[in-house]
Amino acid sequence: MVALAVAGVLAVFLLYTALGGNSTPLLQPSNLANHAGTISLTGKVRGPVTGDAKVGGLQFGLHNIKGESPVVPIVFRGSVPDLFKVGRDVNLTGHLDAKGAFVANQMTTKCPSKYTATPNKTA
Amino acid sequence: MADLGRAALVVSLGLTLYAFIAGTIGALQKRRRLSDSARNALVAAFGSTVVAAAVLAIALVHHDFSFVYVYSHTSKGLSTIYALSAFWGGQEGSLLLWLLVLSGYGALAAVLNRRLLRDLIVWVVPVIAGIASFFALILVAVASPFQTQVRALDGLGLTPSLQNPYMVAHPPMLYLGYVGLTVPFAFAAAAMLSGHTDERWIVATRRWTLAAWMFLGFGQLLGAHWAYVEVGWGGYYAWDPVENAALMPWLAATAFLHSVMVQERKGMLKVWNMILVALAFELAVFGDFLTRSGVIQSIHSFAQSSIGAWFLGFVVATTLFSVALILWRLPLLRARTKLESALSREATFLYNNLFLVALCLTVLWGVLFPVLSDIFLGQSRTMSRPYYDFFLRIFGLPLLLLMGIGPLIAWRRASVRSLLKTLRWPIGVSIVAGAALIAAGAGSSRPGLIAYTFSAFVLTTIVVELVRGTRATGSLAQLVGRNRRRYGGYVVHASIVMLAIGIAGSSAYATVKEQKLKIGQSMTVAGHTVTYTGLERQRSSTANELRAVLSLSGREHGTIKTGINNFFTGDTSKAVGIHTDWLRLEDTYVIFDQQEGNAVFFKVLVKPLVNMIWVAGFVFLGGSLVALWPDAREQRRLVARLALARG
Repeated sequence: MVALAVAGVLAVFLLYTALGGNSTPLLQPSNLANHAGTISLTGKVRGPVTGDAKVGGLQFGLHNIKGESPVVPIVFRGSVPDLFKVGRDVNLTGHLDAKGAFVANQMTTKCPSKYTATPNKTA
Repeated sequence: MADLGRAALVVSLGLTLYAFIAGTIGALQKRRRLSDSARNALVAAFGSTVVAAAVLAIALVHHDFSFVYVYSHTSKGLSTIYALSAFWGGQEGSLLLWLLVLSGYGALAAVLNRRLLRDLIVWVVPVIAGIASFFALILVAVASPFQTQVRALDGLGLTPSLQNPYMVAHPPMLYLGYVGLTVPFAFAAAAMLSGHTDERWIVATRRWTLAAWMFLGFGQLLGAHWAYVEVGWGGYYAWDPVENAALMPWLAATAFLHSVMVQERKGMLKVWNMILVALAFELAVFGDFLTRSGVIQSIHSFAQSSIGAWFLGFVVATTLFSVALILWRLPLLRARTKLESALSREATFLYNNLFLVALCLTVLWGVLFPVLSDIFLGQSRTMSRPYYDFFLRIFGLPLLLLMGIGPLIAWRRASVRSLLKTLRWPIGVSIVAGAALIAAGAGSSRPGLIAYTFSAFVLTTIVVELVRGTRATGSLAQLVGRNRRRYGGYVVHASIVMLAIGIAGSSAYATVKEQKLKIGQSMTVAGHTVTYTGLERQRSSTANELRAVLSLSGREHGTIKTGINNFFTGDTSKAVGIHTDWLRLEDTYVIFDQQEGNAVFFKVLVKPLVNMIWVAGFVFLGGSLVALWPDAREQRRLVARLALARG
C-alpha cells in the first residue's frame, strides 16, 4: 500500500513535468540568439537608459555579467525595481522580437555585491 | 581585539576536534572518563565561541573599521541595534552565529540528558562536536570574521532595506531553527551508533525538534511579512531559492513531528523516522549552502565565495554517513507491528507524511532544476511560479483535509461507517460552508473554494474535539493542561488552516489594477475608490521622502500615503501604502510605481484576508508553546521508558 501511494505521487509528478513543464530557459546575452518563447535573461545593465517603462518602453543594453559583449538591446515595460541602475545585475523575463531586441515585462535586480547574502528582493 | 577573536576561534576548533575524537574513542571503548572529558570540552567550546562572538559584537557596536567585516557591513551613522544586526548581515558573522548556537545547543542537550540518557549522550557529544568542528574550521581557515585592515574612516554601510526591525529578528530566528535540527539528528545518530534504537531518543528530543520547527516556521513568516510591507511588490512569498531553503527543512521537520507519534505509539516507521530526521538536518545545512554558494540564481544577493564547495562536501559526507548508519542498523529498526488497515490513524499519518515529503521534494527539485538541467540537458532552465503553485495545491489541499481526519480517526482499524459518524458535524458544516461560499461568489477560483471548504471542515473537527473533551473533563483549561501536546497540536492545526485561508484569500481572490492618476483623479478597485489628492516632500535623517497622498472611500475610509525614499547614499526604495480593514482582514495596498510630470502611475492591490496570515503566525507560536511547555507526565514517561530499556 505504501508503495502504491508513493507510485501515485510519483505519477502525478511525472505527468506534470511531462505535460506542462513550466520551466523557462535561463540565458545570458551571449547565448540568447535564436531562442523562441519565454526566456529568463540575466546580465549587467549598460547605458544609456532612455524611454519610459510605462509609455513605449524603457530602453537599455544588457551584456553578460562577466564580459562586455555582445550587448542585447532591451525594451522593458512594467514596474522598474528600486535598485535598477546602470552597472547593476538584473534578471528579465520576456522574449526576443523579430528585430533582435529582447522585450521584457518583468525585472528583478540583484543587489550590489557589498550587501552579501542577505535577502533583498525587488520583484 | 581581533587577535582575541581569532584565538578564541582556534580554541573552539581545538576543543570541538578534541570532543569529536576523544568522544568517539570514549564511546567505542566505553571509557567513561574520556566521554565525560569530551562532554566538558564541548561545553568549553561553547564558552570560547561566546568570547569570539562577543569580540565581533563589540567591534560592530564600536564601529571598529579596522575589522574588514565591520567595514564591509556597517557605517558610522548606523544605530547600535542595526550595527549589531550586521552580525548576521554577512557571511562570516552568520557562520559564527551558527557555531555559537550549535555549540550552545549541543552543550545544553548533553548536560541536561547526561544522567538519564548516558548511553546516548556518549555518542551525541562526538556527533555534535564533529559538526561543530566543521563550522569552526571554516571560520578559522576560510571565512574569518576577524580579518583586519588599516582602519578606515567609515564603513560601506548596510543597505537601507535591511535597516528594519524585521531584519533584526528574522535571520536569528531562522538560525535558531536551522541549527536546532542538529540536535534530534545527533540523538538519532547516537541511537544508531550505540545500538539503543528504542524510542528514548525521540522522547528526549521532541521539544528540541518542536522548538527548532517553531523558530523556523515563525522566522519564515517574519520574513514574509517583511517582504510584504517593506519590499513592496505586493506579495509575501516568491518561491525564491533562498525562501525555499527555509521551507524545505520545515516541511521535513513537520513530517518528522507527525511520524514520531506513530513510532512512539505503535513502534512503526522506525527507518522512516531516521530518514526524515536526517533529511531535515541535511536540508538545513543545504539551505545554508544555497544561501552562501551562489550556485543557484536568486533575486537574493549572494556571496560568490569558495565556501560553497566546503558546504557541498559537508552535505555529501554527512548524507553518506547517515545512509551508512541506517543501512548498518536496519536489523535493529524493524517495526514491532504492521499496518493493519488503510483506514486508520497510522495510515492517515502515513499519507500526511507522504504528501509533506512529496511537497518538500518537489520544491527541492524546483530549486535544483537550473543546476540539474544545465548538467543533463546542456541548458540551464528554471522552474517558474506555476510549477510551485501547482504542487502546493496538489499536495497541500489533501494535507489540509487530512488535518481534519487524522486526529479523529481510530488507531489500528476504522470503519467507514464509524468514521462518517465521528465526522458528521464537520462534513455537514463544510457542505453548508461550501454552498454559502458559492452563493457568495467564491466559485471564481476552484482551488480557493476547495481550500475554504476544507478549512471549514478542519476547524469544525477542532471545535468538536474541544467541546467533547471539555464535556468529559469539565473545563477547557484542565483539558489542555492534561495533554498539552495534543491540544497545542490542535491550536497549531488551527493556525495552519488560518494560514491556508489567508493565502487562498490573498492570492485566489486578489484584485490588481494599474492606472495613471493626476491630482484629483480617482480609480476604483474591488469596491474601493482611491483618489490622488496631493504630493508631499519631506526630509528625514537618511533620505528625501516623496509621498503621494490618496484618500480612500467606498467600503472603507482613510488616507494612504505611498511613495519613494531617495537615500542620500544614492539608493532608492519604494515605501508602500497599506490600509487595513480589520473587520475583513483585507488590505488595500498601493504602490507608487512611477512619476510622470504631475501624474503618477499607481498600482493598487486589494488583498482579501491577507492579514489572516500574520494572525496565524501568532496562533502558530502560541500553539507551539503550549505543546512545548514542560510536562511532568512526559518526564515520568521518559523515566519509565528508561527503566524499560535498562530492564
